[in-house]
Amino acid sequence: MRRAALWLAPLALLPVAALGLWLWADQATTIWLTGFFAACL
Amino acid sequence: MTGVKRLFDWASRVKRPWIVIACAAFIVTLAMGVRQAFGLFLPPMSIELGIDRGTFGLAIAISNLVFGLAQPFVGALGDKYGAGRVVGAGALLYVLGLIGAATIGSAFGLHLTFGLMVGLAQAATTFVVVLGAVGRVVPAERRSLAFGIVTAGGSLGQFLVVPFAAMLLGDVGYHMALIVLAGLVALCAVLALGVAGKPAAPAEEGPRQSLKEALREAAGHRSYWLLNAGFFVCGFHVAFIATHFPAYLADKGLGLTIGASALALVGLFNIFGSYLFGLSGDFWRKQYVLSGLYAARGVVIALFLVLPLTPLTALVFAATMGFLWLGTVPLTSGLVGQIFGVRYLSTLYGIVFLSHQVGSFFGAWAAGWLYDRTGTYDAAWTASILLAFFAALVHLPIRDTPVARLQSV
Repeated sequence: MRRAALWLAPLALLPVAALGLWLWADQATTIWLTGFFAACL
Repeated sequence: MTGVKRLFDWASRVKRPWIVIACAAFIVTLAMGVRQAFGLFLPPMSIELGIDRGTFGLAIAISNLVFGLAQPFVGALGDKYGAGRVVGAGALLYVLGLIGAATIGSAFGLHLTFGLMVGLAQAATTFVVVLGAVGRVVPAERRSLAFGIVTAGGSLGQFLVVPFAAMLLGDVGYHMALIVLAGLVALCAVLALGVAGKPAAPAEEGPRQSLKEALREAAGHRSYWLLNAGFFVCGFHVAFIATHFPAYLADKGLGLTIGASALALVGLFNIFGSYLFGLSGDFWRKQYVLSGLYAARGVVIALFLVLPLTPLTALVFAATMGFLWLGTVPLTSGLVGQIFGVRYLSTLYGIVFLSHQVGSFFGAWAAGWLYDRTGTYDAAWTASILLAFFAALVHLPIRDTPVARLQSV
């Protein structure tokens, strides 16, 4: 039971994922046009 | 200063493992997330400062270089003085760098702030330093999971802070956006209390070992070199895809929505992958999980190239690579701690991380160089596949048994 809970724990982040996807959807054009990934690592 | 010292000493006495893990994860979330938003500042800063993209890019390149080169040194400082002090100082430098970038009026100022100051500060506030603190308070059998949680924090930063910074830029302009981000990073100085404390020598690690002896021990261990080789490949993959994937999709005629969605999916699935690969390291031999992870990258890239490029394949590729993105971090750092102990974990992992950053340099630069000469990314994709299977192979002979010094206790 405890082991299963450990593997399923990331599901608790689904609200955060929803918030993130909403932010991305809102800002996608800006992010894409500046090609932020080129500078991210 | 006495007050600050007392505060850190107090924090080091009351800390619990879950507090250390939570604070470490939030520190990495903020420190990684803010820096990953820097690309967004290119258009407005280039216009206001009157600089071209190459000059702005040089600031980022300096930051990347300093970030990589500083890792072993900040790691050693963390091992000697404790992660709290290093993170606290790094956060202060980070804040000064961001405020400085908001106020400078020249390319030199940009290189000094975004480049040198932030690069150094980021090294002091991310994985190498905080994982050392986490490794010392978490039992060995749960260490990989703890590292996975902290790594997932870094992934969360990429996923949340980047669009938040984009929103700020649109609403308040780049000067105020940088000040707000500096305020976020300042929280790292408070969170540093959670990872504070001069590292105590764990009882199971035997007699005191000097830094020089630790370095000599690692340098003479074949598995340490194999970990360095594997992590080089990780850096190559991540930087190549991060830098060139958007351009690749654009070349192939896929539109804006698909490109942006692909970037979001990399960030989202990276959170889950970091955690789950960290967790898997507590159940299975880490070197075999790493081998499988790299082999999976090779297969996924090969399938992506073989299958017709459609919006669906681009998004599935982004999600899958996102899932495999930073799962290497908890497993690789976990292996370093497992083989050599945690007393010099930050230093030894800092050197491995430097290898990652060298791989990043080649992934970003060599792929562009090959593209300029051949007009396609085919050679870079092929190199990525070959390197993936090379990394899968080099992890197989890694011996994860602790060194004799640890076994003798």
